[in-house]
Amino acid sequence: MNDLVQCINLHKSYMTKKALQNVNLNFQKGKIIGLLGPNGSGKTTLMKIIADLHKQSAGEISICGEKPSHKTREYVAYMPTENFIYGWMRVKEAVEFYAEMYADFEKERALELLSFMEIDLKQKVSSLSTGQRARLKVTLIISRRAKIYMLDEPLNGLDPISRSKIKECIIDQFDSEGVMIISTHLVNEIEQILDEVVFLNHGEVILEGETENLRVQRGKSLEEIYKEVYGHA
Amino acid sequence: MLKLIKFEFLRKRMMFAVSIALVLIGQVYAIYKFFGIEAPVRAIIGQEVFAVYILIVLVAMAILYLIDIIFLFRNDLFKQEGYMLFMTPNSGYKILGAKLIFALIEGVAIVAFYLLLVFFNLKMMKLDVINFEFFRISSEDLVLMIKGLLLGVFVLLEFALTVYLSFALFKSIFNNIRFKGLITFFIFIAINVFKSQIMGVISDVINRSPEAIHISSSYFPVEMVNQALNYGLAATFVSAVILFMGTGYLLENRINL
Repeated sequence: MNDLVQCINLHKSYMTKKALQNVNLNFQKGKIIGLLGPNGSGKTTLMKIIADLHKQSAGEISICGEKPSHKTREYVAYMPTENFIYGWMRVKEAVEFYAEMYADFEKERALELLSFMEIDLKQKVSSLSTGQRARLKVTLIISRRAKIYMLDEPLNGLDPISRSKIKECIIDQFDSEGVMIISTHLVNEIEQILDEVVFLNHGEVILEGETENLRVQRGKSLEEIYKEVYGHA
Repeated sequence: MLKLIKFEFLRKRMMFAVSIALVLIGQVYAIYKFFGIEAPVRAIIGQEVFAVYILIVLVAMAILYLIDIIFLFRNDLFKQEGYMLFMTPNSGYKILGAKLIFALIEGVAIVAFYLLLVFFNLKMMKLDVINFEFFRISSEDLVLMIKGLLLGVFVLLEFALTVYLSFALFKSIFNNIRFKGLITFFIFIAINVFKSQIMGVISDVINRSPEAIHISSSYFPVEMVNQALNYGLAATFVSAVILFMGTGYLLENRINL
């Protein structure tokens, strides 16, 4: 099965606000996909629906051929933008938690990555700096052998060293049997690693395609396309 | 599920350690004060002080326990860190079940700790040598006492489940509705009114049963109390199961975190 995520006429509303409208997307394995758009464009909502943390208002979605449920969370490694790791835990306990909860979690891999990320296992999560927390979040997610990886704004608000380490980690650890979806509005930071991009605005897909094709067709870098798209949106 | 329960214990280890330390400090202070009273009047004043002391500890423990088990669920449902739990491949029923089992174990542990505290004080202060009926506990009375304390734990758990259901409604069906907090609060009140009416009906049926009439006419209070406790435990259990299923369904099928 090449299509790991399929969305058909997906809608999501919050009261009167339409967070997603008529979204039709297929995400195939072996690709790194950029979910691009300004704040409030629907990137996080889409990711949360794929992660089974939100339910769609209408339309259909399938994750590896199944409707989202607690079972599909076995295939989905989602990194929310929020600080989701329990502050009371030590880094070692967070690793233990993932090792016990996810059958596809590779503890040795996580320990190696933590060393690369320069994070002390004995440190308490609540005492980590913003950059260290972000690095820990990425480490825990990437250390799974999941089919679908989703990183929501992984580079936001981070120092250059943390950004560089996280990018390196994403490139090195990406498994061609899975799909990686990265949401961001810092396009220039990850432009080089994206195979495909989806531009969202007000919950609608306004442009999508292979990154290289878009660059060639428009004769512009992805960042310039981004500015063009949202400059007129 | 055991893994989930284990992590609940790890999460609460510091709270448990601090609570036990505080109770023990209070205990040492109580002993110091007790033996500070002059010997001839120690037993008389001591028993009064002791009765007040164990009552305060009981009420304090019950209130803290109730707050603790409500926050056990609330923190994961309303705080960012809750994603860590709700992203795991565990069903809503399993997550809720683990929390309830943890809360039950915590409740039973508190009851055991409380009983130990009471009996330790009784022995140490030698209050059982004086003629004070309350402290002359037979094995039959002990069973009733434990049942009563367990019923207390069950009632608190069942109440917490009502709160859990309200939280789950807030984060699911009413998540996208204006005044969701107010609506959820009214639903919480409505559930409690409905529950008390059902309990009232059950209580009427029980009191009119031939067995109840026989017991009440026999002037045998232990049997009456025992029967009331049994029905209380059964009714609370049934109510808890219904609330659990409703909350589990919402967590599994309708949640918006």
